Amino acid sequence: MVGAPPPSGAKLLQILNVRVVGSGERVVVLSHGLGTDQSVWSRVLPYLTRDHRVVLYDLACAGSVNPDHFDFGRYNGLDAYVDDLLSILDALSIKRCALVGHSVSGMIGIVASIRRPELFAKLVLIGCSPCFQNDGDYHGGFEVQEVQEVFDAMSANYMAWATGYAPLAVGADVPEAVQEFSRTLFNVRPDISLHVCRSVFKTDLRGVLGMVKAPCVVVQTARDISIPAIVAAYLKAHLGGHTTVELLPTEGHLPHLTAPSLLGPVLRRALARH
Amino acid sequence: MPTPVPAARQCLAPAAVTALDAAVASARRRAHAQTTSLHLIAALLPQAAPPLLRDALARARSAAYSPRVQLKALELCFAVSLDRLASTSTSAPPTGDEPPVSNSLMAAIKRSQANQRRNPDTFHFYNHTAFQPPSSPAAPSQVRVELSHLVLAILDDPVVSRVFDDAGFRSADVKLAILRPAPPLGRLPARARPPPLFLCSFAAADDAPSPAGDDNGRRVAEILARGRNPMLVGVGAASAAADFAANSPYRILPVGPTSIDQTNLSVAAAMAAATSGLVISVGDLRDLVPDDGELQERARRVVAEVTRVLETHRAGRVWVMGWSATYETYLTFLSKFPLLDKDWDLQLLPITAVRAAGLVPPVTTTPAFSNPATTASPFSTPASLVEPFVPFRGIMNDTYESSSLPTHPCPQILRCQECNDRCEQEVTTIVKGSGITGEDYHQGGLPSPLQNGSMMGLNNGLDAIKVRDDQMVLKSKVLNLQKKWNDYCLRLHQGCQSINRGPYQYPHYIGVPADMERATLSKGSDSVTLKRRVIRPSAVSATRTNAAPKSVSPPSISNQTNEELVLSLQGRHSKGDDQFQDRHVQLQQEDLSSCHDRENHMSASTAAAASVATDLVLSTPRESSSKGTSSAFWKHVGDADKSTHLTPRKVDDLNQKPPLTFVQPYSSRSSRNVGQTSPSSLHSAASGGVSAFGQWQKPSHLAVQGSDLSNYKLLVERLFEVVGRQEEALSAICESIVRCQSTERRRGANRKNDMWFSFHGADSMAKRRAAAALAELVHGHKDNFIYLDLSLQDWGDSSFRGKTGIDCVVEELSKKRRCVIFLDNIDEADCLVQDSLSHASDTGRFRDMRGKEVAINDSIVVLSTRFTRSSRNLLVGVEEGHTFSEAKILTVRGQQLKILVEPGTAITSRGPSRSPVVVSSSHPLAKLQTSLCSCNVSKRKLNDSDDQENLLESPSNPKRPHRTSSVPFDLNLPVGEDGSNGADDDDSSNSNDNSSGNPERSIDGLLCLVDGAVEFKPFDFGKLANNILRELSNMLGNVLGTGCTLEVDVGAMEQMLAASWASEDRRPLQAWLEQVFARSLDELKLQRGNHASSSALRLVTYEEDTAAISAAKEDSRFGALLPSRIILEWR
Repeated sequence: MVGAPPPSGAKLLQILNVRVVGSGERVVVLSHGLGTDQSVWSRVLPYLTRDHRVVLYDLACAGSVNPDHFDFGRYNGLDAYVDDLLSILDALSIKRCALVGHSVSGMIGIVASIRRPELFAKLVLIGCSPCFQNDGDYHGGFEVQEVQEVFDAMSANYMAWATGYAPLAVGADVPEAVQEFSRTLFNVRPDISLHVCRSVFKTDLRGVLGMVKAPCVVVQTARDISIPAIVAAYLKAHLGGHTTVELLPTEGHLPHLTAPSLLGPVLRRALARH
Repeated sequence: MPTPVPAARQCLAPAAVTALDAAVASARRRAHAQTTSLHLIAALLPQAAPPLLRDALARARSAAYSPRVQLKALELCFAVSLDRLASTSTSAPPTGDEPPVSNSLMAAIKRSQANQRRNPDTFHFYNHTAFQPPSSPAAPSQVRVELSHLVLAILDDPVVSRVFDDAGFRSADVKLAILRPAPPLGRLPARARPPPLFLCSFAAADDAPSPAGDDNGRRVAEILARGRNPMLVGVGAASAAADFAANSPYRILPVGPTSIDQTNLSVAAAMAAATSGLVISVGDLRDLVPDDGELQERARRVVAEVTRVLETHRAGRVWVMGWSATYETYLTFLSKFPLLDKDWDLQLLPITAVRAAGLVPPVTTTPAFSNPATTASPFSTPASLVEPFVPFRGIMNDTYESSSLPTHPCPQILRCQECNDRCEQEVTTIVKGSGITGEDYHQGGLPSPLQNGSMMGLNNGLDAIKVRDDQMVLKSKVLNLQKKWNDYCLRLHQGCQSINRGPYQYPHYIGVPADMERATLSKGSDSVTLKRRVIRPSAVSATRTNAAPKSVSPPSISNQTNEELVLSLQGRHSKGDDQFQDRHVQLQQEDLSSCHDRENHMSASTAAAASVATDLVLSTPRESSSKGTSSAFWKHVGDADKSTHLTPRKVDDLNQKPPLTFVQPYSSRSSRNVGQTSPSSLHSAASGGVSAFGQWQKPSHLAVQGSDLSNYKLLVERLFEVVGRQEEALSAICESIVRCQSTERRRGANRKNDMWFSFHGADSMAKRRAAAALAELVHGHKDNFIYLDLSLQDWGDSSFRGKTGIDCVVEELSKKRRCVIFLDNIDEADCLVQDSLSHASDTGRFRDMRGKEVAINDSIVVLSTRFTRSSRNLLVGVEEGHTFSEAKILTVRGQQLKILVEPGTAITSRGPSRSPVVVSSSHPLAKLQTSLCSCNVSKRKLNDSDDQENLLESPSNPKRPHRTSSVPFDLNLPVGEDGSNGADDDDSSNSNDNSSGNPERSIDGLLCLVDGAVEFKPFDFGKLANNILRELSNMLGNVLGTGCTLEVDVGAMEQMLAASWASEDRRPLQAWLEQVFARSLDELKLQRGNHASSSALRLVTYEEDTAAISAAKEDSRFGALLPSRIILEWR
């Protein structure tokens, strides 16, 4: 697969397990974050399907995608993922949609909406950060040193790292969510996981936030191990479109797993306004 | 990006290759473009495939259906989704003859490869090879994927898991079942009969979880369904009983020597008719046969009490069950309580298997397991331990549904008149043809009222046959005939059965011919024998098990025969049976008197239903006493070992009685009812038309009235005891309950057992307490109560976190099977909850987010809203004169209280600026100055964790729902241009939701669906506050004299109000005032002496550091709201 032109059209839809569910005029794209796949949305999906056409897909790095299609050279930054997203939307002939992106998909959404502003009516960014590393006044949550430690841990024993990381990421005391997140986390091939983490950690979108013109809703939980609360404020201050912040009174990086009943209505409200 | 099949094959172990080939073949057959995960799973489902997946599916604990049904459903679902696949991918013609492996399936293969590699021992090897060249896609060493790993990985495929979901499986369960291999015993073919279980074989049983428990539960349920009472004996009896208790649709009420004093059996039994039934569990028999004298006495009381209740509710849905690990204990029990096995109508159930793993008995071919001989000697031969027992069963035709415990147990066979007649004709023909002379039809010459009404009195001429020889042949012929007509009638005339059944139908038919012959033989050929086929259930066991020479059942057919029989019986029992006679006569008199009583009441109370209620309730003891007599009578006959079962019904009473001319809607029927106050008719009356078999009959109106009114009365009383106010609402609730029980409500083809209420209006505390009391009254325990405040997003209880409201309900309901589900603030439910509620209301099943379904059974669902029914206006207590609003009181938390003492300033403190607000402020006696200053209210801050602690502390007590804003609050301080961002009030969310789905309409629709809407009145806090103030002023006057004043800070007042409101009555607050408040005043007086009398006191709340609060919590004797001491502070 190395060096081959990126797949497109129907082929891509198949590779990335694209699924369209629900009925309604407005289209919502749900894009999952690292270490999960589209099944992570299953609990909030019922809140949306009644009034929206929901597009679900897997990132190329997800465990449910054949790793053969993961081109280590190509998926070296966010751009390839953005390409995938835009190709999917084009293949589905979607002219305008809202995007709900979790974690890294929030970043993908930001970049995508800069590249194709007419396509995105609204961005809902869940647990999203423009940059994970601390940098001067900016507090992204991770020191460079810490990031390296994470990488070391991942490459030394992925399973051990994942086992330890899953409860931390989930945060809230919801064993089922931990189990579910662990499952999807394990499904990702370790080398892919590490590769993606490396590329994500070196991404810095702070400079381009102002170019986002679509209205954004930043959803942030009260306590998130990966994203400090200040990042939400930073996003609100710097995103170019009209931005609101929804603070969920729960914990963890994955509110769609841990608190669907909180997130569901928030999403409905956020999406009702686009 | 499809992968060629050979490439995929390389990754697989042989078994998996076979499966893949099958999948490929199936894909090719269907002309699909690719071989997908669906094909692979579908290929594993048929019988010919490796049993891995099927076994796992069979073992996966699934929601509601039998594995067989669900497996079938799964196959269908896969077939459908495969068909669907064809329509989407026919555009791409199959390339070559092997449809390549689809991307998602290949991904699954890769995943399983990775999984297999990730085993700890091979991990490092793999790790190094994988990470060296980051750009090379796959590891060089090919791991061959085992089938199990492959299936595990495929189950993660969203497409596949969706299909599993559709069929009601949860892929997680299936995965678990695959991971946990079947225990060895489970390897039996699914259709195999369970092997014989001997007492010795339980040791060999595996202790893996298995459906054996279900099996035992099923057997118990069958016995219950037959109206008998199970006694589990054997090593596994304890666990079987526990299993049954955990899963049964009946309410289980444990009664033991230690708990007999606290248990109100009669109330529970009276409520049993309202639910699917009550099983009194006497627990381990060992407890009932203690050596200790005092305990023995208690055990005796247990037995007496249970016997009494059983007698009273013989025909109702009340059973008793017990268990014993050894047969010896059971024998000891019987020796201590002789004849109890007959009084209780016990059926022994040997439970020899502790855990018989994987023994799923065949579901369809199992006939009724009946065991008529068990009372005699089940342990005499080892062979009888083999279960199930399938002996010859008379005309009882128990059908059994294996998929669930029978809530409507076996249909009883009662032929309609037409079939009965034809059957009789045929029987007569046979009898005549067989050369046996003599027949006896007693159909002529009946008093006309009887002819119209008591059908069952007429049905039985058939049995009056004299048999001389060839009895065996004849008997079997007759039985066959009867069976044939029963079946026929059941098939064709099911509808008319309920019509033909009399109002007090005897519930039980038994194969009487045997008895009949014996009686006939013994009496000689010349005497006229009168045969009755209808015998009380309690008589059944005796008839069957006692090889009594005579078995005569009493007539109610005609005057002559009746008298004749009574005479003949008396003649036969004349060997010193004066007692018998006395009793009989006494019984008749009692019957008569109670008849007259009733009659009077009836005629007097056509208008006032309430007085009927009172009267009937009052007359209940008399009825039961007559029953007591009759039961003694019965026992007496049993003692004489004649097996003579008399129904002490005197038909002649009817004619001899004063004219029955009172005006009653159901006069004819009720007159007959009254006229025949036999125990049986009383039983059926008391049970509200539910026979001993538990089958629902269309009840006679009188019976319904009687039992319902007494139930109603009881219910209202008990509810009011607990709630203490809102009489109108409570009686409305009870009215609806009784109405729901007495009318047959249907949901499609099934009877609707659940009840839906809506509680409107304020006073959430009373609403909640009423619901909790309902849980205790109707469903037996106050734990059977699910409370959910839908306005909250975080449910407080940590086990509910990460779930939607309905998930919580489903989870709790599946644990408890029946309960009262109280959904507070239903108006704030999100769209999903609303949808599920409508679905539940339509189908009788709750479905959670994952598609797991749970039946509501006979649960009560309460939808509570603060809004009144007429308008959506919030009716908070801020009407005129109400200073305290419920919303405010609800947020009150228990804080420390202190009294600020300002010596000698009593006069000055009463300045003009402090306008007295509360009515009693100028109390003449104490010169109490009470001012409500609201300054402190805002100081209190919410402390969530603290509040959760409170909630956890007292799960059963009415909790104060802590309210946070229902909409997550928004960081945007200035409200955005769209206006609805920052607001955290309900309106914003409502209006937003309106734009996309209009929840209000569906909420209103939901509230329209309920069986009863109940309006609650707002609680009068002002009045309560006045009372408290008066109380305070009295105390102040008594302790300190009239010179001082007391200001009660509004916070402190709210705290007292909340405490009083939350408690059932005023006692806790009263006690607190007397013990804590008065003590503080005493202390004050002690320290200040005379100066105290002129002090100005202020009762205020104050914040403490958390440590002190938690310390104070521990010794809080007065609940969370009232501190156990008040601190004095001098200014």
